[in-house]
Amino acid sequence: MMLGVIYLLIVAGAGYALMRLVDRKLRRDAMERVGLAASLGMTVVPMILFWLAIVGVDVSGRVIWIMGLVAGAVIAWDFLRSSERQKSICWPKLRGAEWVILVIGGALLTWSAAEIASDSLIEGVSIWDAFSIWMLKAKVIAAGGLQPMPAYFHELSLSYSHLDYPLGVPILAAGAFAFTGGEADESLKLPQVLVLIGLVATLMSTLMRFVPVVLAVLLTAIAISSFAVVRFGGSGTADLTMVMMTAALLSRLLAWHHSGHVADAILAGVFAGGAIFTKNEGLAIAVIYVGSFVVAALVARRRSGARTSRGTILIPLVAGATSLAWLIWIAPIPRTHEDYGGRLTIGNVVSNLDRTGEIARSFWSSMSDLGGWGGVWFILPACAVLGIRRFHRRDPAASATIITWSILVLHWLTVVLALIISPWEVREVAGVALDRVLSHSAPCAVTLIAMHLSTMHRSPGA
Amino acid sequence: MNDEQPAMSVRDLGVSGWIMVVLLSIGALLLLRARFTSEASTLRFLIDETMGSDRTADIVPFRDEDARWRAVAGGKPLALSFVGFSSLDPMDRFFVAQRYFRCVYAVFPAAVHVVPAGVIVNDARPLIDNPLNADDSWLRANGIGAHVIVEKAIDGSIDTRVHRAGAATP
Repeated sequence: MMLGVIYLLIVAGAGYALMRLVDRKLRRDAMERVGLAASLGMTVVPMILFWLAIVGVDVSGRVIWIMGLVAGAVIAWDFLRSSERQKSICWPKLRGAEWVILVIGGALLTWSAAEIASDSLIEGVSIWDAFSIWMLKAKVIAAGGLQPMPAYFHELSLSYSHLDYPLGVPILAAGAFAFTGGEADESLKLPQVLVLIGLVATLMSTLMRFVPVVLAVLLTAIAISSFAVVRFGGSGTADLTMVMMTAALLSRLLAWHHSGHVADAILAGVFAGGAIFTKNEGLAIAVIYVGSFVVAALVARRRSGARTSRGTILIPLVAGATSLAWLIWIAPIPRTHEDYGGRLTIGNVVSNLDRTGEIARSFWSSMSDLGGWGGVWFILPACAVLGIRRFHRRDPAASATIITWSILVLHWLTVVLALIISPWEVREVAGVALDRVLSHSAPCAVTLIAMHLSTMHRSPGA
Repeated sequence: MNDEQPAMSVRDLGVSGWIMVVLLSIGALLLLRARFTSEASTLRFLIDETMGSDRTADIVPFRDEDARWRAVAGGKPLALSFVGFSSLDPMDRFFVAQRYFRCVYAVFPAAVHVVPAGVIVNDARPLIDNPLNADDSWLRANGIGAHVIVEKAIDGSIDTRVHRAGAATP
């Protein structure tokens, strides 16, 4: 257990060290620092372990100890040199209804987080996708590294499945297994606890930019309490990590959009690379999120005649650099399964257009499940209508809202497209995957609700 | 976007804002209720009530099945055959795929041979429709420790036998 805690501290420490190296000048509050440290650690440590593994340095306890020493040295150097004070969280004095909101949000947040954490630490690997795909890959990496490429990835007569799924989650699980030396089922899911911390802190810090802290707690609780997030969060699949990646990516892109800081652009690029290294749909998500903000920035600069921001180049550049090794390494691996990229042809789309009715019914069935989503997909459009001022040109934040809405819509359209070309029977695949895919867009949805809520205040004279 | 803490407080919300906050709170309560009635929570409650809370952590799905697979394999590659199952029956497909993928996970790094070379397994159909022709000479040639045969009888009962090269099937 103690080794497990040390492993998580090393991963978070590596994230914190990178954060301080990238943006020593920026002041961040405690929530943002915790969120960035955890989510950056969960993003860069697997990337580094992968880069080392493909040149022949296997994932081992020694490598992770060295990583911890380097991170510790950077943090100590930063602590000794840094004299600036970080921001503190402004905790308002609560009254009446605010306490009620906080108790409801806090209870839901605590319960869901406890359920996900206990699944991660106690339950073993029991969900189908977890043991047949993600944690099996972790065992493959822990058993023999990636150099030479294990038979798992190319020996088709052994008949494994989903060979081309990204290795971000498995390699971090393999690290936990190698570092703790424990039983596979007990150590592989350990990193999910840090993912949960990173997700909650990142989402809270993003939402607190728009709404008071009690509403940020309520919205964060709703985002991590959908049926899919709780069921799969601690299961050993990559879905909770994907939700964290989208939350972290959106958070940094919004910060860059607002301030133009180069540090936020670099971190956004890292998280986009992390999304690509987490799940196959991460590539589409990275393109949609980064593309929407970069295109909007280029259009705005062109209109105003100002110079192009460095971020418009930096974000895709860093995303490409951090995911390049993975994309090259994965290229020769046979696509024996879904291969959505290969199936994306006009002929395939046209011939399967009759699926759209079934897809629409599946969307409705999932979104209208009040026990599964708490009505968030109905509250979101209602907020957009009542908080319509957020779209007004005079609102300086209007462009951020419009971009975030575009991301949400493009994300869903991509899901629809994937279901249209899927090799599976559409009802079957929607039944098992749609809730999970929708959960990836939950950070986007609650951020939009917060954006609109921030305009629904009483007018000064009222 | 406000870079610092938001200027407004909850008390500053107008009527529309309060309506949305009330709806969000009701949504949160619905999700909280769903937590209490979830499958995992119900299972834990039942275990606590019937076996005592100290046993909850012992009830790990697949623990016994994993131990059986590992004991049979003994660290060597396994051959696995499914007999009497239909690839048209969804329940058969579920059973077969789950047994195969769990077996692969449990005995790894030992390999599990289940279909002839070149057949790709993504779901249960190839497992059922392409059985392995694993006679003793093949088992010996491939260093297979044991051949596990999972057979479904006409009455639906399932029998599992273990055959080792050169030994009679128990």
